[in-house]
Amino acid sequence: MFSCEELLDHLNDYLDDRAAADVRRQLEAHLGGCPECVVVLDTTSATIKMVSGCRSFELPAQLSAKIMAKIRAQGR
Amino acid sequence: MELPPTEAAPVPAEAALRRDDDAELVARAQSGDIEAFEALVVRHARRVYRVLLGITGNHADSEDGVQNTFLKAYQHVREFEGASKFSSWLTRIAANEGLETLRRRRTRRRESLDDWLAEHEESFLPRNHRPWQKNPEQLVADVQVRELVEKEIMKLPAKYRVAVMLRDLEQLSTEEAATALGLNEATLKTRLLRGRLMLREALAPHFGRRRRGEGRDV
Ligand SMILES: [Zn+2]
Repeated sequence: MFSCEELLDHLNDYLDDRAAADVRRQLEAHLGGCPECVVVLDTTSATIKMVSGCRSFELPAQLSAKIMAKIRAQGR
Repeated sequence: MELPPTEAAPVPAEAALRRDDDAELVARAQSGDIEAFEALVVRHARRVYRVLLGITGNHADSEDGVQNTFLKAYQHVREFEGASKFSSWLTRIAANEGLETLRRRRTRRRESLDDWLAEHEESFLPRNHRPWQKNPEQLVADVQVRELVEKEIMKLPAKYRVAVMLRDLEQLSTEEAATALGLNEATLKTRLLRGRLMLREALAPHFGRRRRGEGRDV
């Protein structure tokens, strides 16, 4: 069974659904006995969902137009 | 890139282009069609902006960087041979542009080209172990939460910030993100984990359930 630190080593693969079957098994065995890692897993997953769901850092208005104006001004 | 290792010989340019959604626009742009290039700008400007914001951490630098990236792409579009996807090629130009900004800045500020290049990552252990009181779907609907997430992402060191932005915001695969940044995949994954954990730690005090006796949950 994994230690808390070993669980962290595999956390990304687990969250991205890319952990190998035996890694997944050991990781889930650890989670069964470690409420702190359950929280880390849940809240890291929530963090990822918030980053992907927040639609942050949209392109500033008019930036595409500015780029094209520069390119057209420059010609080839 | 998706080929199994035994077939990892260089992909013929034509074959790679056929799999690229941008292939037709790229071909037209290469023959001098400026509207086609404009369509590529519209399609990819946001990702380019996020790459630059991830690396430089500065909005003004990023806007300049986006313009430089597309000017360079336009000047060199005929040299693009389709060995990678057009979007990867473009992202790579953007990353180089961002790193160039860090390089120029080096004398002004102690930011982070050395840090970027450092191979070693010290491990980062989670400290906050309280469950959160709301689920992420409830949280992202809130404008203040979005502002908080943006603010905390911007506070991350560049190498972690850009990993989180490319993987979790732009939804690139770890392979794509690593290729775009010129890193090997293992390094990208380490930085991504560190970035995710640091961001989690920064957000936790805002969302964690209070213990009994500490006041009511909101
Ligand atoms: Zn544990």
